Amino acid sequence: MTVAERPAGNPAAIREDFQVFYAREFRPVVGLAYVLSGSGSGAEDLAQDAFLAAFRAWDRVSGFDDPGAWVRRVVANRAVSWFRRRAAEARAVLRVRHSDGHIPEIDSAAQELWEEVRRLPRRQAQVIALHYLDQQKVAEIGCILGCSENTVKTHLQRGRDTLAARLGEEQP
Amino acid sequence: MNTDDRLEQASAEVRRQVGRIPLPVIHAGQMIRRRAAVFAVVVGMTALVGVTAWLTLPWSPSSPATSEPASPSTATSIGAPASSSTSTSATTTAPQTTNPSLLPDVPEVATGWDLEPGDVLVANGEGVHLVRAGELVGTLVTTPTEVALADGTGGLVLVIPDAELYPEHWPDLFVRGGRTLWRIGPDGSAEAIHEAATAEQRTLAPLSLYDVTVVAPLSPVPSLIFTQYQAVTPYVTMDHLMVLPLDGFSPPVLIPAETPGEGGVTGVGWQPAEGRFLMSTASDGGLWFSAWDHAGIELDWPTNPARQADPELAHHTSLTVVPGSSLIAYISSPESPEQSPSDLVIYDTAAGQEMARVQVTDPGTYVKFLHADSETVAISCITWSSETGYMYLPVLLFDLPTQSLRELQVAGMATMAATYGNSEPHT
Repeated sequence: MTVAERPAGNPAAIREDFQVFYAREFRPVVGLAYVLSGSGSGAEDLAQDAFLAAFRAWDRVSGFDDPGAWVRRVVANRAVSWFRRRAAEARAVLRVRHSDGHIPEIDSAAQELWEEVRRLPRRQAQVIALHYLDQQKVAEIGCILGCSENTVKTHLQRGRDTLAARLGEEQP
Repeated sequence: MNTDDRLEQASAEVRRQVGRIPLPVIHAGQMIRRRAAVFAVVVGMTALVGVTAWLTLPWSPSSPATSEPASPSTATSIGAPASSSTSTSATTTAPQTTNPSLLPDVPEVATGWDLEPGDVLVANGEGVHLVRAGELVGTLVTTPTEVALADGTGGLVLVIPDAELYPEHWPDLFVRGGRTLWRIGPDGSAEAIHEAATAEQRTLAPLSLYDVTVVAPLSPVPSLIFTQYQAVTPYVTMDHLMVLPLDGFSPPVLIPAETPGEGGVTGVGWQPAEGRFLMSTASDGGLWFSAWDHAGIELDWPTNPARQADPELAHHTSLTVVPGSSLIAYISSPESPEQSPSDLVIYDTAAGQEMARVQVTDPGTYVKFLHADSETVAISCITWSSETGYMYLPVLLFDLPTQSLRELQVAGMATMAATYGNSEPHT
């Protein structure tokens, strides 16, 4: 399954204004980046980079079925490997300050749980974050991550099982 | 409460807190400013065609690393980019006159400096600094620089940070910044020697520099080893391994090593005695190493310490070759560098054994880059906090003969100068 372009002539093909898209999607995408990367400021960097990329290619990205899926895929992939991506690191060169809008403190129980999620294999962590935090359906997650629904279900189940074992809980 | 409930609750907490973030209008503003800046450049080009800034910036031998970059009005802009399809000397002056916060297109280069074996070059937001015998002795470039390497003939090759990452500083985010490879000289000259083609769908600087050394099968002169990022599709990326002989006329040679994305290449070095490139590549499970010849054929490497992705190798840092020896240096961390300290490992590829291992960072500090000459490994570290964002830490130097570690008072991306002289004679 792919993030396909809309068929020509589809009434839904009226392209959304980028600013509207940005205003609607920015915070959820920051949340996704946050739980997968574990860094508030880094999450904003990742989200901003993804939105800048979307803006650059808006003529094309706005033609996708779901531009939000495109941004989420970019962020989900980069967030789990962000320390090895030069993009975020390179900000140190100029010490860009992002004083506006760091994520407020998350309560410790939630922090600990998301830390456990980040310890999961990459795909499982992505699927868990997209399913629970971003409230995406299995089919939508498959679209975002470019894998089948069955694969998503497998990652979801394995991720939950691993978390339950690590947290010392029984799965219902 | 079961796992499902806990995940729901933890998700609600994150959604609640993220919902309180003010929408950073700065980015919308940046986009508007970009358009305005591009317009200003067009206007400036019209008004300033034929005008070239031939100003001279005196070399400041005692300039501290924390000094502010020179203002654009005192900048040196000598030499227009040789291969830029869009830049002219006129465009280099336009942004400086329309918006003083913009960085110059051409690196601002001091004059009258020289490099010696053992010198350390430290690139950061203030430019490129020269450290000699542990002391900061000069600032060679006053334009923010991502990484600089000695070119083997007394000058430097460098890359300026990517425009897309710092749009507030760049009028034209599509053609400059991390897309242009610069060669600068102690006479203040600056020449664009290679430009990465604009690639759609990418937000990363496409050029990553690793070393300057003689790759004899390709050229007798020192060559720059670098990778060039390409977005094959919006989701599939590729780092191309390139070798650029620094003879002033040879084009870069593509080494067709298969280096898929998802982290991509993190380090490359050339072992002349073995006639092979050693490469570190990031993958989901960690870092893995491989060996390639100059034609892009993967070679058997029986003593490879990381044939498959090794989670104990910190995946964010580079492998580097110690010139004139069979040694390599890399970083190892038993868990994520967020959670555990990182060790510098000196490994003998001929004997297949570790020669030294020393802890170089605490948890939360990350080694971004390694570079070595025959005596010293320079270790560039990075950290972040909510107050400062990402920040370089003081450079660490590991002395190979004494196996001792020391810290410089300069923070940034460090490389050892004149490594080429220790690997193979410059013929």
